[in-house]
Amino acid sequence: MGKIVSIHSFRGGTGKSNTTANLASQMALAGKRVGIVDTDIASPGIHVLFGLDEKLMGHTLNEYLRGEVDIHDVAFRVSDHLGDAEGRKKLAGKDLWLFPSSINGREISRILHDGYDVNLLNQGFQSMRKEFDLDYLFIDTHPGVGEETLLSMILSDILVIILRPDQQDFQGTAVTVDIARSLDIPHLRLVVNKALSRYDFSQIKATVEQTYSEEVAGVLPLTEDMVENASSDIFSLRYPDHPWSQAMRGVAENLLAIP
Amino acid sequence: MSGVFDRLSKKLGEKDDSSGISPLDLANLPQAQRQLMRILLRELEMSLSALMGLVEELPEGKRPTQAEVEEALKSLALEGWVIKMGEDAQITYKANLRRKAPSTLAQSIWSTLDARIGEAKESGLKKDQQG
Ligand SMILES: Nc1ncnc2c1ncn2[C@@H]1O[C@H](COP(=O)(O)OP(=O)(O)OP(=O)(O)O)[C@@H](O)[C@H]1O
Ligand SMILES: [Mg+2]
Repeated sequence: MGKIVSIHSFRGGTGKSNTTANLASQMALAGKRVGIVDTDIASPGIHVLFGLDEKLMGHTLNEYLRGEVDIHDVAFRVSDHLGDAEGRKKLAGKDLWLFPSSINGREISRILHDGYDVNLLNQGFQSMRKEFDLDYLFIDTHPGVGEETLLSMILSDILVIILRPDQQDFQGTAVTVDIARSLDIPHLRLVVNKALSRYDFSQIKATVEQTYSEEVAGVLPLTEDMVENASSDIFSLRYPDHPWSQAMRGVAENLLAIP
Repeated sequence: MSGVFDRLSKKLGEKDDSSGISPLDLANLPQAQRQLMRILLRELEMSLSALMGLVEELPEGKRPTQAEVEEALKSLALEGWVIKMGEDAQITYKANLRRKAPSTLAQSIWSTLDARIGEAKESGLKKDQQG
């Protein structure tokens, strides 16, 4: 059965959702069957990158967690809704599904207020893998180490921790790496995002690997072009020659090579 | 084949919010127990022999023996963290996660928030109709 890949970061805004969406898209482009589930129920974000708004959004994980719909009803097949986004168009015919969390304020407050059945969430993950015959299931998470985060870590075959190359992120990332190690997760990879272009990236990679004694799968530059993209498309598909996209494909290849 | 008691305990399990293991407790389990929980969570429901098949695939040094597996399952079942289903040759095991607790924010905050969102929605609708 397919691999579960969790994407984490200790701090918010490090680029988890962008990385998840781009990695998943690159793998789908390479012919893999890929799912993405947004477990950031309190502040979902990844749907935007796939052009999914409240109008277009059908059933959500929230309804599934209340037992109202089947996980199949939540699946949003990206290739069926490509729109005019230049990057996403390259996913035509590819096997990529998004399982979104609701972006409706009432739905969000309702699930935070009521809680939910975590067994059902886990069953949902496993049905996605089995019934969609996925090669990879990506779990995009809320920043920090919360309950969903711990659960997704424990379930993972591969844990990707994203960090920014600054002092503020250091301590928190060290904690996350320690937790991950204590959980015997089969494969752990670090990805540095928002690195300043004036630094030597191979130097950053070496320093981070030495600091955490874990493999760095890629160092991605901070780029204004990404901000300009306004998170409305899959950056590495839209600008395949951009340095960020090249580094991102390196990360995808690193993960694809994990047996 | 699941008996009437399985179904009953399942029903009770669903109602009782405090049963089952929280992710934090899961993370703090001894290695052998945690590994079994991980396998059960990923496979959803398994017989002992199927479970042993996957335990065999664990890296050497981290691989519990069948006796250790049985011991671990017993402790986990006692806590209600693993549910044992069926009888005799048909026994299967299933992990049981604790329900996510409601946010501890006061009830009044939620109703206020809910009302606000409702108002915002309605005024948005009105604007749409006017425009
Ligand atoms: N390499 C980069 N260069 C410039 N901007 C970036 C880069 N990576 C991500 N961003 C921007 O940073 C913001 C946060 O990115 P993203 O939403 O992917 O992070 P996140 O970790 O998922 O955030 P959250 O913790 O809120 O879920 C977005 O506006 C995104 O466009
Ligand atoms: Mg995010």
